[in-house]
Amino acid sequence: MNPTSKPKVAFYWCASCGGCEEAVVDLAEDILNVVEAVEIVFWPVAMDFKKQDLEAMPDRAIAAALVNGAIRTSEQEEMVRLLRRKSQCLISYGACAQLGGIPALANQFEREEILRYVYQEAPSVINNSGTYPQPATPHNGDTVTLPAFRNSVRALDQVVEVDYYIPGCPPTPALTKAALDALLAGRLPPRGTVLAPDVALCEQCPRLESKPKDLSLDAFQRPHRTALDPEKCLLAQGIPCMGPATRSGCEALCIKGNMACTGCFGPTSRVLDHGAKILSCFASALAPKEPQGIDQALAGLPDPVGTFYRYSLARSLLRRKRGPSQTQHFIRGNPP
Amino acid sequence: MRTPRPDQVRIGFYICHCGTNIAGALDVGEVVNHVAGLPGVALARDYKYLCSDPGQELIQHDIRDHGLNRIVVAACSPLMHERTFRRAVEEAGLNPFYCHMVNIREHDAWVHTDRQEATAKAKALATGAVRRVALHKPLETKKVPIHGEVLVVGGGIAGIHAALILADAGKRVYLVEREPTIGGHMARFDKTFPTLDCAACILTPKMSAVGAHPNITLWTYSEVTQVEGYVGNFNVTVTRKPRYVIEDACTGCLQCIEACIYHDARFPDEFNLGLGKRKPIHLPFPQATPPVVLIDPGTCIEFKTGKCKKTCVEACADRRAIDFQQREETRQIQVGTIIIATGFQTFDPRRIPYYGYGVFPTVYTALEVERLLNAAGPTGGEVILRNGKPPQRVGIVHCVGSRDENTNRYCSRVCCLYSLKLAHLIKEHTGAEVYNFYIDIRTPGKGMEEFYNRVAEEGMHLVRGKVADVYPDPADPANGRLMLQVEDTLMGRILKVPVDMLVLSVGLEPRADTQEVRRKFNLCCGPEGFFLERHPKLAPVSSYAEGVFLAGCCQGPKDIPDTVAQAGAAAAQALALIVRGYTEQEPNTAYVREEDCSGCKSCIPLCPYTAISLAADKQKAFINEALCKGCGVCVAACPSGSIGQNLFEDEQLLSEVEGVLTYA
Amino acid sequence: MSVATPILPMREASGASSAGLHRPRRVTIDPITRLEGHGKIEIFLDEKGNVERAFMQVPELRGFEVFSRGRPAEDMPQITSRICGVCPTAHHLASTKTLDDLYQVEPPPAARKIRELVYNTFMLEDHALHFFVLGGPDFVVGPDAPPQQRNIVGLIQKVGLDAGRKVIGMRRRLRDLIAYFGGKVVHPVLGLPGGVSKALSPQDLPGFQQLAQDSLEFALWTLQVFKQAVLANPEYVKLITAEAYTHKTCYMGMVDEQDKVNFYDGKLRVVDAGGREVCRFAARQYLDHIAEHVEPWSYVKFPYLKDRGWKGFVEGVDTSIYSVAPLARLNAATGMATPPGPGGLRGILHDPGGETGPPHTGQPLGANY
Ligand SMILES: Cc1cc2nc3c(=O)[nH]c(=O)nc-3n(C[C@H](O)[C@H](O)[C@H](O)COP(=O)(O)OP(=O)(O)OC[C@H]3O[C@@H](n4cnc5c(N)ncnc54)[C@H](O)[C@@H]3O)c2cc1C
Ligand code: SF4
Ligand code: SF4
Repeated sequence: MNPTSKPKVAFYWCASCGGCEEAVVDLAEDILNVVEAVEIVFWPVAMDFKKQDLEAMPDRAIAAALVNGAIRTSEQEEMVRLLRRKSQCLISYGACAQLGGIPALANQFEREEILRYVYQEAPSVINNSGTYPQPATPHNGDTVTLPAFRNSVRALDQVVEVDYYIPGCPPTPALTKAALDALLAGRLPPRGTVLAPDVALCEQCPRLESKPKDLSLDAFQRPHRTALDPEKCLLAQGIPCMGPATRSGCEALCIKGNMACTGCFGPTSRVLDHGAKILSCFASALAPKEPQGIDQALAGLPDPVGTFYRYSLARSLLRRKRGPSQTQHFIRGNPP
Repeated sequence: MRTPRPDQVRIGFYICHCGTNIAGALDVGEVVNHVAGLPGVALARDYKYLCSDPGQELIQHDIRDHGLNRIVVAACSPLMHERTFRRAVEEAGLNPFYCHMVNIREHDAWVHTDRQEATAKAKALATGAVRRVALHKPLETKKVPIHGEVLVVGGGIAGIHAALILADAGKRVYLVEREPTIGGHMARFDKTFPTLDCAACILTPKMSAVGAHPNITLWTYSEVTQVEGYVGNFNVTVTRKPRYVIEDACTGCLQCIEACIYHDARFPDEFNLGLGKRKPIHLPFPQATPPVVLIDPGTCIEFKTGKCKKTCVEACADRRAIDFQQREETRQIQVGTIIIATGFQTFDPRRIPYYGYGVFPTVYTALEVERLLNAAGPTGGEVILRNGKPPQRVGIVHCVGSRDENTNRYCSRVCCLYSLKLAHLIKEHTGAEVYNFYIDIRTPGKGMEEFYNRVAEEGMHLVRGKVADVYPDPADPANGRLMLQVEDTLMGRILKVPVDMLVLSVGLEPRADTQEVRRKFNLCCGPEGFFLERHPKLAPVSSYAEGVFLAGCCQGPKDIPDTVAQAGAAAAQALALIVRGYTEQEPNTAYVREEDCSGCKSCIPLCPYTAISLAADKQKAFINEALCKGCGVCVAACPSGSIGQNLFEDEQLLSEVEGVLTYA
Repeated sequence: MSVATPILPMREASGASSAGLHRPRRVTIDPITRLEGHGKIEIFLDEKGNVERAFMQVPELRGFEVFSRGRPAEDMPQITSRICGVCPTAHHLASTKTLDDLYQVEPPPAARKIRELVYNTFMLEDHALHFFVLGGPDFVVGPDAPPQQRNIVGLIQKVGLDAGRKVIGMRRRLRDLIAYFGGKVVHPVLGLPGGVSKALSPQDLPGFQQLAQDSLEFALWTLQVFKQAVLANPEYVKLITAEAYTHKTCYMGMVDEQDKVNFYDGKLRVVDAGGREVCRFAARQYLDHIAEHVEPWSYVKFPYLKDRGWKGFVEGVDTSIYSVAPLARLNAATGMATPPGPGGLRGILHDPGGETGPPHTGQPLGANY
């Protein structure tokens, strides 16, 4: 087959860990079929194409670009804009691109606070000269440049338009394969769809039956402080499980590992703010009704933001910590 | 994405002046101009009184002439006129739920003083409403049948009166009373103001009528423990405490009391507020209804040791009414409407320590004095002090626990009058000098001022002033006499008045378990803690829970005439519902999108109306529309956003919020 | 980030751009490819075309050290694994072991074995990934092959579809084992202070025993591929042993009591380029021995040996720079704890040319095998 007649596919990563790349490699035997069916034109982790190669392509030359990772730097912005321009279909791959992911937890801190800690205050750092990474460093009349570090971590669709989302931290091979198959066969759902079941995890969970009708939570447990019954619903054991609020499609893998769902598949399409939703669900299920008892129960949840917005802070209504001088339109405005 | 195509939606916007109520506080013209320019708005007008017939007709004509298909009315609270405008819109051929109200009176005009800001707020609210109404869907009001049975909670004069009216109308009434007998506070009084007729003479016939009425199921010594369901279909659980006497077997002969191993009555008697004594087996008072004795397991020897000779059982003989094994029982009933008549409690004067109640034996509450005056009371109607002597000088302090910043700020309404009544009766019984210390004498109501004049003329001392201190007579601390220090504010001097009986006119308070009852029946409470009526003037006996009505002092302090009037009104309202036979169900119900539901069960225990169940075959939640009241609890809690609610769809609410914010 | 250095000879670096002739030539490689992590390389050449200075820049910062604060300790294994999704198991277990230390709990023997099983399995499959997907294509497909082919696809074409299937199938089975205990293979969830979240069920044991057997065969086969593709080719051997590809730094690796390699537990041992021990410490003492240096041209910090102080980017026995990962691990140890496999695992790495190579080498080309 003439390689150029095959649909072109690109993979790229922004603020991510590479787990999404692994997830593609984890297609295992199926990757051979993918490789057979498409022409991969860009994939830094596995192939030697450079940015220039991408720039040289005509606009919309790429059938689909799968981008993982959140957006923090000017370079990431440029790259995703470039990919958007070159691609007919831009797919957000994984939790970081879709929701901000773990890197978006940094939105609880101001930009300056982050830089100060990382390069100055962290106990491992010795930096008497007060050096910080600079946008431009002179070298013999030349300059070595670094991209700008923005105020906040953003999800992909807060920077460019996204056609589809494949959720997960990372997505499963099965979902990836289904998405690629649908793409190749041209049977994609309406734009903007998250390519995973739109039902919460409990439905897929092998422990659903043991979930009682009335949870009546009087305390939250921490997983290392309690002997976990490997058969019983984790919420019923007091472990904050994000399953009820989290999209399924992950095959309940964490649950099968006997740990609670932490929400990496994000909310269902009907929910605007993942964290707020699970919070309101838990709050409703609390048995104590008076302030003291409620406080006691909540003591088992020492880190609400990290628990409820583990992956979705960038996409939440909270977005990020605001510095006193920075004003930002709260509801729909784009952060700088 | 959320804004519908403007050619589909034609919104008519109307802002009401409400006379000057709204137009006086904000610039209605400016609001009209603003809204007229919003997408989807075909027409915007202001009008003096939109709720008037011509106002409604204006909207109806516009719907026809201008092809409007959505209506926004910016006026008063939807509680007042939502029905009015929905009906008007429906008559003009539109689905009534295409009409939406914005409350710019209570929420805006009445609460702001800055005209410009109030106008800005009205624009913001109107913008939100315009955005929202565009997304409204046609909905249908459903009719739900109503059960004819009525539950009356509380057997004071209010509950008794309501129960009798309904029973006489042929309805089955369940009257649930916590105490062993009905009668409430009134059963403890001797005479009643303003007519000074004997309380027992007017109350006991009604009590026995209740006991004998074939349509009334009377459960005393009982409490409602659970209420489920909704107007027309309440499922009620009543718990009956054991009285260790079988109600149907007891004839009220009282031979058991005679025969009790305790020869003398030696335990403080609850009905007489501890002023008298009773035996372990007792009847609260001679006319108690039902006339069924009860055993207090706390004092009965059989209960304490299991070794009593049980002379009571012997005396009961063949009737075999005494049953030491009796257990708490529960009863399930289904009723269509509920009347709450749980009354009040009197203020505990220990909370104001300087009156010395509980410290000096000669300080009494008014209610205790009622018992002393009562011929069936502990002293056989003689006013004698704890030392056995009749008082010669009696002080009555008004407003104890009323009109007081530190306790209750409100006026308890009956204390002035019952104080005058007690002053009169004490004087009549003992010939003592009686001093009334008052802040103001309040005597509204039919015959009350006349009653005041009559008593005042009897030679009462009326001192306008607050008692500031009460202390034993320093001259002779042993004689039990108390000195009252009062500033007579009319004469402008400090008085020291020696008395040998001090009566505290305690105020009326919400019962201690009010919050519990409120939760059980989904009621609301006002700032003083009494149950809140739906509207102080227009719906004074309706509560915020549909099909649940309020009667008597549980809604606020009042005298017996008002209590009885209100009880009658509550009975009439219940009857009106029953006679109509159905209620209209607001279609703002919640529904589960089955294909979206994960079966996580989070919603099931939350519904206060138990409308949600798990369809076992499908493992999906299911909402019984007839039970849903549209409270929205499940919608908020559903963690996967799989429950929607008519009229409160996410997109409607978010558009509304966005509309408000885009303007703001 | 796995440490790998691209071996692309500069003359054919795709994306290389040159500035005007009057200036030193500048070569930009952006992005660096076939390794986990974001990077860019700027190389400045002098008049003669020799490298005057090179910058390996990391153009991003996520800030784990900041946003990990405020999180419950027990969440750290799952959060730190997001540092790298290619080696999440390493971060996950490092964090888990820190929790043991924090709570002062020893995992029971079964839990420890499960952790070791998972970690060693990860070691195997991750190295297979590197060899076949990330670094290996350079050799197997060949350094002179066009860049479009120097990747897993080209590698499969070279070694044959069956061999490709064998690699992929083996990695899948190994990764399934990790998932069995860890729930997910990328970002596992098994680590808890003092133990693991899930036990091994006896009926699954035979399957895993078979897997162990097959893995050994797979490793030997891989070795064979390596020998044939790399060692049998004198060009490559010359390339990878060339001075230009040798870094003389200190080396850090984890060792057991006998100074043998241990992946899961032990002390960290650092040796200099001459093989002499520089220090040896428990993980919890890392702050006494390791510090981080900041440069203005990269967001990534540069760890170095604290005792020696930051001496700049210099090589030699005195440098404060140290390497980690497979080659360094071997250099820092006196050998493997298990008997060498047939064919002498140690041999290839320490002496690609024969059985008598120097005891310590710094060839980064071998760094990840
Ligand atoms: C000292 C005093 C003197 C007064 N004198 C006069 C007077 O002369 N003339 C006059 O017009 N008014 C007088 N009043 C006012 C009068 O007492 C009230 O208007 C009247 O008693 C109100 O009746 P009610 O049925 O609302 O409440 P209540 O009499 O309090 O009856 C409520 C009943 O409900 C029962 N109950 C409460 N909670 C529950 C529950 N959860 N479940 C079941 N049952 C429950 C109670 O046991 C009680 O039997 C006087 C008030 C006081 C304090
Ligand atoms: S709450 Fe968690 S453990 Fe329980 S059924 Fe849902 S997903 Fe499973
Ligand atoms: S909205 Fe939900 S919780 Fe509220 S009444 Fe309806 S079903 Fe019950």
